[in-house]
Amino acid sequence: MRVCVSSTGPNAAAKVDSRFGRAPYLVFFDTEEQTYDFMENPGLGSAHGAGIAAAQEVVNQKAEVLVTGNLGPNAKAVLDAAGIAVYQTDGRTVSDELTAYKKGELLPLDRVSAPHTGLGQQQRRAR
Amino acid sequence: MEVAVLSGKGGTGKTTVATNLARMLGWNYADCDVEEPNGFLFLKPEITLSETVTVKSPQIDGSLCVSCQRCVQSCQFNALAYAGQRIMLFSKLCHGCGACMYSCQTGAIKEVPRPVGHVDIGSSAGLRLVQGVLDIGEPMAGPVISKVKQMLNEGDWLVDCSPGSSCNVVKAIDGADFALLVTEPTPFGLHDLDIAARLAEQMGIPHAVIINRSDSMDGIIHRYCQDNDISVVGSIPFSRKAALLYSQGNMLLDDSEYAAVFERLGSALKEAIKCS
Repeated sequence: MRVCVSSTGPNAAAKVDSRFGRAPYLVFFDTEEQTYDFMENPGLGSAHGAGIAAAQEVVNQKAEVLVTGNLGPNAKAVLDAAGIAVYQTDGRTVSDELTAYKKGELLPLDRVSAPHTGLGQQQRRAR
Repeated sequence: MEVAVLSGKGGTGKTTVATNLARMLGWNYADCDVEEPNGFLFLKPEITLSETVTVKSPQIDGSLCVSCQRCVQSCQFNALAYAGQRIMLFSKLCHGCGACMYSCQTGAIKEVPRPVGHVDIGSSAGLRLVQGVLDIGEPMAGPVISKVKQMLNEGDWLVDCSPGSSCNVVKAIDGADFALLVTEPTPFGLHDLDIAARLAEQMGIPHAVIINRSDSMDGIIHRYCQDNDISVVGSIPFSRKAALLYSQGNMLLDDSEYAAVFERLGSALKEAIKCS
């Protein structure tokens, strides 16, 4: 099974990024093979719909689980349609989060954040 | 002729200037500030026609779709996704470009109109009045502004624009013969006046400045205009009386002192347009 984690860097020691659509990297971990794939997040460079682009990548990579901090309504709709379970990060490293996931310690993320949360306060307000 | 009224900074008095000048000069009025049009509150027209504004939106026929996802890949705006064996549409992200329809190999996508706002047409005291209204929650004002602009046929028009210098302003002032920049004598007013002036300059639209809420600080605007060779057609004095009239939805022209101010502004504007 593939587990995706939104990450600040392209390695397992990097901190998890609490943003989903605007996280620089999506890390895919294969629980059987114990292997990592580090992908650049296609949402990062999107002018609009970053969450949708990132969610599409998670679907395309056939992940069954996503670990992240904040999820907007559009990204959630895509992940829900694909039946992908989402868990809440504690803001640790990617490998720590994966260990916590395997131990069943992570809580499901069912709260939807405001759109554009990942853009930060200033850019969200400016138009 | 089209005279666009813009400001850079919000709340400097675009609508006050545009509505009062329209009535003073007998020109028609168009409200292109479609996210929050308010000119009709003052001109109080009888609305005789209301037209819905639509954008093209894809409709996907699931029975013809073969899940090739070419449409998802062709979308530059992330308005389409493929999940759970079906194409999902996020219509508010869609720009109506039609790329998805062209990329579809099985003809499963057709474009249908999606309402995003409306345009009201009316008249008041012999003036023709048009306003665009964007539906609440819709992100794209462009199609509504374009529709308003299509309505400006013959005659002289004052075009009330949005604040700022975004696409919405660019769209509203595109094709204008003259731009009237409304500012206030504050550092913010000056800062954003500069942005508005540079926009007009870049678009090749001759322009002049009106100072609203004029007080002892006017010098900062005059200095800027002198340095940049922009004429100041006049100023509107700041007073509690003006604020009161505005807050009650009344025209400043209702007051004889302000009527005289607008009479001077009207002729100075005509003069400025002639000299441009």
